[in-house]
Amino acid sequence: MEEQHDETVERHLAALPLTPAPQDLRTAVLSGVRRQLKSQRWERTLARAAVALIVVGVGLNAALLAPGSGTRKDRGDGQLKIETITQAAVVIARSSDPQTATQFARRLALLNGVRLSHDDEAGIELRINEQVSNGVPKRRG
Amino acid sequence: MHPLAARLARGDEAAFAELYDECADRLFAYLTAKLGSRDRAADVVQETFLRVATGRRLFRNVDNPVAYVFQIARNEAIRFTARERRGANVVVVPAELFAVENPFNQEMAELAAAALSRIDREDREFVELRIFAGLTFREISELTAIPQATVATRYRRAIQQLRPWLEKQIS
Repeated sequence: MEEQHDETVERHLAALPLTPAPQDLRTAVLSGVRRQLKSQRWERTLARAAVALIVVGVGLNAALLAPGSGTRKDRGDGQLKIETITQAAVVIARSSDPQTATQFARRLALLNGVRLSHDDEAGIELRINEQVSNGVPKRRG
Repeated sequence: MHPLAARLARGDEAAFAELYDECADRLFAYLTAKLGSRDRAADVVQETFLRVATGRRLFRNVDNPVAYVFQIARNEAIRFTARERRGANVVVVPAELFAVENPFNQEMAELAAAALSRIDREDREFVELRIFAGLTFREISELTAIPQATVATRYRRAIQQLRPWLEKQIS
């Protein structure tokens, strides 16, 4: 009996028509979203340009400071370089996105004469993705 | 991944329009009841979607985009209320929440708004989320971080407090 009363109340309340959101609110909201997305695209473009400059700069430094290092990968020194490249890529990922960071890592390796194996690349991508998703909880609807 | 969520995460502008169209009316109704005014509700809807756009990459981990938007909106409403330094239990549900076509409906709307305003503020939110926002008990539980059984109990308690309104309506 009680449940029937409650259901009746619910039905009557749910039957009251609600005032819809004003039409001009849609325009205002979507304009704001458009501006925000545009701003993000611009920031990514700037980040990529900065990455390109960094790569060129680091590459020039490497060429100037180590003229005899060639492309032969010394195991100990190579691991250090891969770790350095990885750490730099993680920093880039923080301010841009995983794809940009991965491209940065490949170019930086190339300029430094470091040959990345498949495992090296997978390891770098894993660290980049960990950085991007670190601290973001699973969101459920 | 939910298809709409994937598009939102990528920054697809049309996806944001779809999301808005899917939930705007319910969101606006919920916020109008919660904040006591259509103008405040409009402000918070704008803030909500700005946050949705800013944090769009988080949609990668979202199973239900609409429920997630309500979660953001609820948090924005709480922030808005704190900024305005309004007491948590003094918000009156405005009769303008309901669309009225004639004087009879107007009276019903005013009675409903008055009855809702008298319910305990925290319990009332469950009515707002269930009836105005159209969320399930499970979604409300996840949004408020309150166990589902408790949500259902408090919702029932709020509905029971509305019985006198219904009796007045019938009479």
